Amino acid sequence: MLSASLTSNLIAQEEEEREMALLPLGEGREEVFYLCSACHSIKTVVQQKLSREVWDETLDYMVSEQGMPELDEEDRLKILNYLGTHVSPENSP
Amino acid sequence: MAKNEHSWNRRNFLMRTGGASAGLIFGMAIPFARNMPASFLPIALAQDASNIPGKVGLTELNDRPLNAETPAHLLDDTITPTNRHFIRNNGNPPEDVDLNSWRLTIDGLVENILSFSIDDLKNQFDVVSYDLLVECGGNGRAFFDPPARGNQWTYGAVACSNWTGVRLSDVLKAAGVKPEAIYTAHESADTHLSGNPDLQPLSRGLPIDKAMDPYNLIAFEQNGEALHPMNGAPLRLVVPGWPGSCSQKWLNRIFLRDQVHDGAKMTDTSYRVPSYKVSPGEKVATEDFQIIEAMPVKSLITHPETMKSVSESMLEVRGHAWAGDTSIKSVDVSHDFGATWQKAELTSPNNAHAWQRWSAQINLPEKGYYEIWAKATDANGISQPFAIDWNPKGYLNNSLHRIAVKRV
Repeated sequence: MLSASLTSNLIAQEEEEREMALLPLGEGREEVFYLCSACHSIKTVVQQKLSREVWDETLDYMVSEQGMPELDEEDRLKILNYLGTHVSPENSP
Repeated sequence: MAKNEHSWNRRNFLMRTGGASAGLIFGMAIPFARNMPASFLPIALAQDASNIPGKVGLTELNDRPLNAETPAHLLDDTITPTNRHFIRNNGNPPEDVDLNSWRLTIDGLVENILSFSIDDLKNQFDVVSYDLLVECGGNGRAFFDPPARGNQWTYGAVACSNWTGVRLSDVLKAAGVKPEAIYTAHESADTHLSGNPDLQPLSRGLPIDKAMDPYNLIAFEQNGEALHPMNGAPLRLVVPGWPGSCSQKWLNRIFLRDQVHDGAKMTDTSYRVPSYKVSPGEKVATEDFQIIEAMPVKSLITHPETMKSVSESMLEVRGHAWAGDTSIKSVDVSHDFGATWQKAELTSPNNAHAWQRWSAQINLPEKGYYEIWAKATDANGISQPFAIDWNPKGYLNNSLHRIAVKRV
């Protein structure tokens, strides 16, 4: 019989893997996963198919209104490139 | 940053079933559990698409925060059962809610600051029940082109349940709204997804005139039972006809202000549309957005389910229609891509702010593919548009609902 906390950890790990699997492979995938899933499901991200411009606005909104930490320029660009390429109207996961 | 834990997700559901993960169920091992894709639930458990306790058949858009809508054909009841009422959460719902210790405070620009238990509300005010329409402002966003950010609701972020509570207007009158107050501000016990205690997930408000509408309830029952935890238990506002976000769930404070409320998701572009018509994809300056008030005229086809085959030529089509702060005058249906229309039978609403039932017998003259379209017209003569009135944030899609039917 597994202990409750071990079960909980296993299920948390399974869920993390399941969420990660929602994101297509590509440069910036891990950064997107850890930044976004800190607060909300990756399903929130992948159900949207936004243009790079709207993702850009969304990142601003996340910082100004939703308590997301300010990103340094390099990370921000990497994340924006990933979203604008892989979670876009042309390429929806 | 730590992941937020909350009780109403798949992970905890599985734990509550008592097995270690999904490998053991109903006292039996599942021989090939390891091979089961991670996103699959055993069919024995998957009676609905989402496995949200107390909900059946909802489509889950997110699990953190939880957002789930109802397929149109499951909204066929005149009064939406609680288990089919959509869920729109902005933050983490409160846990271990205690009905007896819950308090609602009325303060700000009032003569008397008041604080009530739920029993106080029941004892001190008229308790009334109404069928009330609640629709998310972003219902239909999924069809926007170019896409708009936010939950990609299709048709089912709408419901009309029977709600029981006390009138918001009675409670505000008891507190004595000061003449300088122009707006309410609502607060609730849910917490921000970021874990930052200084942020609120949602705090909306109403102009005083709308707040005094006698059909707004401070509700403690849905369909004769305690509220569902994801629909705001133990206490919520129900403000019919306006964006669902006005109907604050887990309500614990209403304060009166001498300015338009500037709480979470009241400002910038949240629950706002441009004050003038824009072309799809157009950039709009933030100061040109205005707060959404009454929702527009709309209808839904709840029978038959789309993409069904029928063998008879006569087909009963039915659904609901509703229109913000007003009522529906007529519903027309077409089976030939809008070339001809026939009037549907239309019932009166059970009370103001309830949706209205409509039905029509349609003749499908020969075998083949048909689309059934429904178009409602409100008491002011305003009808649903064919195309989406595009706006940057994807609100107020009231374009007519179409379903596909194949006669075989």
